[in-house]
Amino acid sequence: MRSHALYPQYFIVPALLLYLGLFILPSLIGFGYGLTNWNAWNQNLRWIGFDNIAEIFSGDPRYLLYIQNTLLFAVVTTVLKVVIGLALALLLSGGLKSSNALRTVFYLPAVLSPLVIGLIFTSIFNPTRGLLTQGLKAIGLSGLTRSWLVDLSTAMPSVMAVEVWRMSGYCMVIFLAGLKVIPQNLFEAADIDGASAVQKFFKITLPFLQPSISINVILNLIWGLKVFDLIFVLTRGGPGYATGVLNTAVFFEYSSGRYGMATALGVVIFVITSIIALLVLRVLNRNTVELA
Amino acid sequence: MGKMKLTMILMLSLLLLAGFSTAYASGKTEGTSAKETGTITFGASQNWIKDVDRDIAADFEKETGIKIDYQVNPDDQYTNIIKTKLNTGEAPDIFMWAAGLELRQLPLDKVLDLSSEPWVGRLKDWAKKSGMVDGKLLGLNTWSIDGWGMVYNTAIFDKYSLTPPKNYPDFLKVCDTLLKNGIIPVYEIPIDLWHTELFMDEIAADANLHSPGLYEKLNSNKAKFADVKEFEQSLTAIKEMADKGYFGPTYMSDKWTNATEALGTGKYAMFLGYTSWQVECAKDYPQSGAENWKMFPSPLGATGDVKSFGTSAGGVLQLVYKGSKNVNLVKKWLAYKTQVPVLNKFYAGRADLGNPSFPEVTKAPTAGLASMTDFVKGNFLSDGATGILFWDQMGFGSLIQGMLAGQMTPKQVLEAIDTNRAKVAKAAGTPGF
Amino acid sequence: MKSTRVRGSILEVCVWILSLVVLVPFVLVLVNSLKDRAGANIMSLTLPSIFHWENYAIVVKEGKLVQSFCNSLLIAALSTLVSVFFSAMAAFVLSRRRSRTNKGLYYFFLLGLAAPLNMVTVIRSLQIFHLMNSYLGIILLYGALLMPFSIFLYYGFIASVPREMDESAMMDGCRGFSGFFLIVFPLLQPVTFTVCVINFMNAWNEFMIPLYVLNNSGRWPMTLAIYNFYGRRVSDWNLVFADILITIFPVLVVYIVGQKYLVSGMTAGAVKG
Repeated sequence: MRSHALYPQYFIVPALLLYLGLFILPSLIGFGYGLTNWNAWNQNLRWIGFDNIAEIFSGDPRYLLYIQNTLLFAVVTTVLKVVIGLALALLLSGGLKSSNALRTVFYLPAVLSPLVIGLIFTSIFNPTRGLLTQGLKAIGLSGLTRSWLVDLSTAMPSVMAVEVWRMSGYCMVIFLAGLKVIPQNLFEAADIDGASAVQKFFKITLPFLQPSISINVILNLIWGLKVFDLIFVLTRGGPGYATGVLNTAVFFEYSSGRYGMATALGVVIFVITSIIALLVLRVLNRNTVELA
Repeated sequence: MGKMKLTMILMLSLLLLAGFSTAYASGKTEGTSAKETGTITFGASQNWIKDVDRDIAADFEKETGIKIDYQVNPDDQYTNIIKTKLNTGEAPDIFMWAAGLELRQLPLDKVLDLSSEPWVGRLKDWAKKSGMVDGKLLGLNTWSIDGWGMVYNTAIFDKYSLTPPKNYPDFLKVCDTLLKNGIIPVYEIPIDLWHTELFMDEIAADANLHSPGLYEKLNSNKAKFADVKEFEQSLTAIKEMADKGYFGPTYMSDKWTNATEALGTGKYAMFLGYTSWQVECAKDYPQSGAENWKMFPSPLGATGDVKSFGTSAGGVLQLVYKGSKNVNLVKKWLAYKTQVPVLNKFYAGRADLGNPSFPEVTKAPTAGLASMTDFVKGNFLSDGATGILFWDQMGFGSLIQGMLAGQMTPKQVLEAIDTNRAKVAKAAGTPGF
Repeated sequence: MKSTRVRGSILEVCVWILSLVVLVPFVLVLVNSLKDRAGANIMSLTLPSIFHWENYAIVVKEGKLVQSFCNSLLIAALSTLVSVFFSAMAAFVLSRRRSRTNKGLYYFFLLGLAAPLNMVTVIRSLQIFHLMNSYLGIILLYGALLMPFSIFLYYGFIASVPREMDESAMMDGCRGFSGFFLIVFPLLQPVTFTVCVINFMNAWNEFMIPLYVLNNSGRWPMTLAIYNFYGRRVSDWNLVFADILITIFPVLVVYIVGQKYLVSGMTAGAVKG
């Protein structure tokens, strides 16, 4: 009744129109191409139904590897980013003198574009002259050095490490904003009751951070599942196919002229991402804390 | 807090206004009724526009008032961007594209037919052929035809009494001698994916020589890469060279950008380069004597003595978008570019282009080119990428990199090549696939 | 008392050591941007023997960075504004009135986080609306792409702002747009700054879309300038690094300026009650 006047539906219209017209409708129409044999050579499209999708799930080891890598990358980097981000946020909200400066420093990597990161880390990961190898040698751990981006055992971990480096500060920022919402009086009351730091963390901090955790987990999962630029710039999906993910496959299919196949892969990514995101959203938002 | 916020907002809005007006003003300086002057948009990959191109464009603008807007795109995205733009009708007026078979990847009905332009008749034969598809000339070639062979440091070879090997076993002996004397035999760069696959690319010419019609068979699915002995041997050779240490200890991360340093400092003795590569090495390292170095064809994969030198289709062409609104301006540019003094200036500024596309421009062959011509008795044949459809340089290179990392065997690399290639060929409707 | 202070200082030092992990790559870029070409190719952390400050001048001139800076600023700032305002409005209503329709619309917006961008169909869309090759077109496109994320952030945080604020606005007679922008929107300050910073950064760093959508290189953003040094002179890493620093500098400024307000601008009094 009264709420209708205060929360008018027409507020949604501008966003919806823009979103539909320039993003979602073209995307959905684009999906249609995945069901055709659209490629670089034919001018007349032919409907081939789910042939492309069937090819992806036909048990071809390469596609299986892509799916595996995509999931692995998304999950591992998300977990690490959230944990490190939270740790950093806790450290920096404790009233250190240089908190402001430190906050800026840790956020810096998120500012760089993938091309820049690729250049920097390709040089850092150079097996002989790079900083990482030199650094390990300097502290006497030269036995651990590898050809970081080319060795099959370290290629994927190296790429994941760069992503964690890049976005932990981003998570930290979200957590910092979330931490500020927690009423101080709760902590004061807990102190009076003699609660330990661990107890305070699990009983007060964590519940209030639900929305922030939710946001960080879901966003990073989604971006992890859709990753392309970073992997492409660091390893091009190589050596061979070792670090290939679904979105690099999209690029290579598109480059080789098989546009329909590329689009079909895009649809698969979209479906996987949506399902996972919705599931996680459901699970995490079961216990939200309302302040009002 | 209120005042701070206000000032910040004011500053931002001022900046915005400044940016907006500058940007808007510049955007408006496009020629309105592009009749005699205007701007030509020119699409190219990041590696194809050099300083001399910008100089020539500046000269052109001074002479005719027509501006050239070079739109330099990242190399990886370039072909995707141009194909998309051609398909959606937003292509630049001129765009560059690789000569030869790759032309077929374009929507050919969107490219202007240049067969009746005045300068066509003056082109050298190979230059004309490189730009033709189905009898129509689609691209102007102002590049060079070249191939990749083993450039070797003649001083080092003389020091250890080595002669350019004719076949693979002799080549291994040469490498062995060099390594024993503390010189790394060959500088190789698997991380630059397109380079390592060149060994296979080059030996394809020899393979086609030994089994005539091989290229046609590969193009009609009557033969597969896995069947070609030379291909498998070249891959096995690459792995063997790496394992024996002939590529040196850092080959997995060595880059193209350090190639001149590797050979110029005498640390490495050989490099798979094009016939004018030594000129660039001499420029960076004048003490090295690189201008006197010679070349021999790569024996990796050869079944006997190497008899041919594989050459490319002819480099990079300039093509014209059929739907361009500035076709008359573009034709003026092409006419300008093909004038002899302009061509002279261009080729003078491009040390890497050794064989000009027009006969009026002469360039003395490098020592490398001369020795190579001598070695194969002038037998310059089409390399793999020129004669075989769907030669995916980067894709092959990536597989080879995987082979070197131990992920697959040479045979598996060829099988993967065949599988990928068949998919693309089938999509393109190639008969036989 | 003293022990906690000592503990605090030790902690601070430790965190700074930790921050080296983040800082070292940046130092690498900075240091190498001041070397000559040969020195920069090695990409080491050593200081340059001569400080080649002119690298920056070269980069600005040859990369036409002044022009592209203005383009980047215009495009990034306006797309941020568009996405922030549209999203705040939409998320406000979606979050307060959780009818079935609105819940559905919310998830519909979230789909955009996962949806792939199909350049071909988007170009066709822009052509239909006569927005190709224009600032307005790319600004609106970015706005659309940034919307799912912005709505997502706003939705969550609006839930934590008590409804009493909205009611009090109504009692003062403010409705609709004015009610929203005068009373409610200021309460969303922390989120707004987060969204602004992140959206600005995303729009600023984008380099794929301008390639397809802007046909006039006079309109290209700074992110594309780097390719002028990349290929022309094959290995001018010192210039590439100088270009990188110039390009990321504005985003850093926005973040540094914005993050102070991000943390300090809270609904003081409203939440503590």
